[in-house]
Amino acid sequence: MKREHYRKIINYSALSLSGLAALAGLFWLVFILGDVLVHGIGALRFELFLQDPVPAGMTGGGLRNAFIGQLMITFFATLIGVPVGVLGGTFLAEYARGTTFARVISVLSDIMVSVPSIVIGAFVYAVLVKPLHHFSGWAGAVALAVIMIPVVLRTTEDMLTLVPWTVREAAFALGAPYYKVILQVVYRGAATGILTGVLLSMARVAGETAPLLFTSFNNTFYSTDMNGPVASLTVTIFQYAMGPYDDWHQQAWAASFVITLFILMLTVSGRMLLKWRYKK
Amino acid sequence: MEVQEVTLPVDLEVKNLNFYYNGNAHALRDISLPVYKNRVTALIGPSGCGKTTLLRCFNRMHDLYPRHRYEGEILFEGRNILSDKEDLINLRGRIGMVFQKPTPFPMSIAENIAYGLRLKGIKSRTELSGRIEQALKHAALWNEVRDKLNNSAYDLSGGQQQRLVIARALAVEPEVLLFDEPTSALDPISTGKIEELVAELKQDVTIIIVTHNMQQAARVSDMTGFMYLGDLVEFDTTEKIFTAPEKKQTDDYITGRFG
Repeated sequence: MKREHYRKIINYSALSLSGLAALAGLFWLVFILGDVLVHGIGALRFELFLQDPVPAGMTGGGLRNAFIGQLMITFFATLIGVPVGVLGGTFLAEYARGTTFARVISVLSDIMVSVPSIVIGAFVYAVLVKPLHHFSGWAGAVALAVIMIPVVLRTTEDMLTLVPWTVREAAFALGAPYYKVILQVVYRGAATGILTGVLLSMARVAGETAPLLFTSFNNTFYSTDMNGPVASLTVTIFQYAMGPYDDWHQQAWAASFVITLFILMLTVSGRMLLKWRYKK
Repeated sequence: MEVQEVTLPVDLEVKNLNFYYNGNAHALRDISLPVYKNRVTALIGPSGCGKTTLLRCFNRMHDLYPRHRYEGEILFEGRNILSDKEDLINLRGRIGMVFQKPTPFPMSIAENIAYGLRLKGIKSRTELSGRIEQALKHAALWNEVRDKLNNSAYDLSGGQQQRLVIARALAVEPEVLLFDEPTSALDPISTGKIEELVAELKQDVTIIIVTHNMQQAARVSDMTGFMYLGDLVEFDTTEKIFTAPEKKQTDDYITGRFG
């Protein structure tokens, strides 16, 4: 009887401790999102998307340059990162399946996923910025692509491994060469999973600031020249939030709100795709 | 009786076949047997006896994996298909295979059948749809799927999926069909349908079937080979194997004393 009582006390204290910990985590999450929402919506104006920044100290203007720059850098990062990641994952799951080499690459990719993004920024700075003597949109896209590659590669590998081996054998048994088995059968089975990985990796890089500080830097003017510095939302938020003008702070809030919404949408559609796939 | 069997045309002839996995694991020992044209040949035996290994030699499935070795010959129209020069893509187009678990591709019912046809270079839409219908009828599935050809193949039941896979294999008009325990994942009713189908199909194709189920071997096959530990212990007409086997080992297995 007494032991039972004791067990109940332990049970309740463990429950309340873990409940409190969950609440503490949730509190900050809601606080941050709520703050971004309240301040962001308040500062949201149409001019933000349509006008470029005005000289420092003056009021008005917008962040069209940063929105366009952000989209360009993310787009080109995806264009570079996704093919490399998908092909690499295909190599590991198909041609190198079960080899030590594949396992080593797999583990290295997992480590790459958790390398601080600023390290990747510094690396791309050393490779693409310093030798060329100027910041560029391309360097930013490459830095983000380097962050994307391991994510896409590992998801592709996992999703291809999920396609039962017997399905491949069945395709071989019909007289299909390996590349057709991969392109026409295996990719079809893994398509939604790979697409989810791509969306999640885009969400992962769309909010990066540190690697862009070193590479695409920033630009107060509207520029679509990927060979020169390109503005990005994240770096602009960083600069504006640190700046002395109230107008900058307002625009930084609005930009934070928009980018948070963008990433949220990417993540949610990725998750929904995944759920839809496994319901089938 | 026996003289009559010998006069049947032979489609494939296995001659002193030895097979090794991983360099030296000796999985098949000196196997020789004829496979008669338009007959069903069953391979029976306990798990691990090599019957699936033997089956997978006929379409060179082992070549997908490293470190295997064939010795001996399998003659198909007088040509040794185990030779390094054999064109495997062409061979697998002529010797089809149906697996233990249904293996529909992640696409629609119609596309599943069209897949093999496209591999053979057939592109015309009218020809494709004609041959899809023909193959599905051949596999006794047409009436069940005629209104949902564009649905995912995964929507079908296990038994229907297996018949779809058979239809897919038949569509490319193979001369030989290999069945690797095709009903072990199916319920009795679906099993009955597949068995009926096998019996009908032998008019058009030569069939080799691996099965764990001895009643199934007795029901569907004309010839039966009993295998044990990589040896072909006995090979004869199914009637002979199941009523008066020569070897005591075969008799013990058939009557359920071991295995």
